[in-house]
Amino acid sequence: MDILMRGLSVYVFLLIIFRISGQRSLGQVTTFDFVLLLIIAETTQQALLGDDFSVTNGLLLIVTLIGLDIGLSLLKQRSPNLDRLLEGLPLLIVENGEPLGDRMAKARVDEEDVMSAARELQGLERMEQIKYAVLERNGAITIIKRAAGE
Amino acid sequence: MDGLGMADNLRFHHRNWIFERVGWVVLGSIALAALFGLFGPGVLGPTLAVTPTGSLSVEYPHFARMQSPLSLRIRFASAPGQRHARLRVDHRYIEGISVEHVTPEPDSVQLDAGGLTYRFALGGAAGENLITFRIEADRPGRVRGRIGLIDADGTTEVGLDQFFYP
Repeated sequence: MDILMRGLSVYVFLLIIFRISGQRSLGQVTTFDFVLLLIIAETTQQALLGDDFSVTNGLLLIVTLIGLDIGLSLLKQRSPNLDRLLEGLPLLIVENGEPLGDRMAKARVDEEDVMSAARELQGLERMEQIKYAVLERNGAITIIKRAAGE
Repeated sequence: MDGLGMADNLRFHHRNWIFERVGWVVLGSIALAALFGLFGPGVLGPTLAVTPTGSLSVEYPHFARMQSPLSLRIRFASAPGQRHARLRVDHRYIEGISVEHVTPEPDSVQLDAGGLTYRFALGGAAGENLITFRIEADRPGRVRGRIGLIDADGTTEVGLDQFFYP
């Protein structure tokens, strides 16, 4: 009983926390994002297992978390509203070479992030070569380049 | 949008950003509350001391977390020539927490229906004595109990009231 409650509360808490911290925090772009994820993983492990290190407890926890994940994915399938609420929606941040400053500020993304994605994904050199840049739901930035002559 | 098969969704994003910012305020308040001892012995958390006539005082945190050791500091005065002190902890408190360690070690611990009576040897000089109970709760919830000093005239007691977060 205890392990189910722990699993449920930590899962729900993390869900809410990551919604509050914004899409970028899951992007794992910088070294620090990665370190933060490691530390959070360590912290939650302690909270979930307590001082019960038996195999049974560990397996029960895994069952609980996977169960919650499956349950949630089923709910999201049935309710697009819930899906939007939990996962968010993509956001257009650059249109025809012009960065949409207000949105980028609110989403806490800067032009350097966009250019880094442009170089990595499309091998682009300049902002003008970008037709659309989208901040995806998982925090990654995707780039659509301008066709020649556009 | 020309070519991009995706709606702009700006209304959703605005509401989302408001939700985020409200969330930051909540996070900030949680951190602040923790700092001030709401979730257990914190950086600035004042530890609640219970003093009756002043002959016995118990210093303990009102809010604490389960499975996290904490200390009860019990202070009392002894008369010159007094060789023993008896401390009584009622069974309600004993059931709620587990005693990890008692400093100094008691001479004896006597069990009866009402609780435990700890007997400590004293040096004999007059003055204030300090006994520290290192305790831990293994269940969340509220724990109430009484700790008393037994002397020739009777028992002087104080009540304890703690809440352990899960």
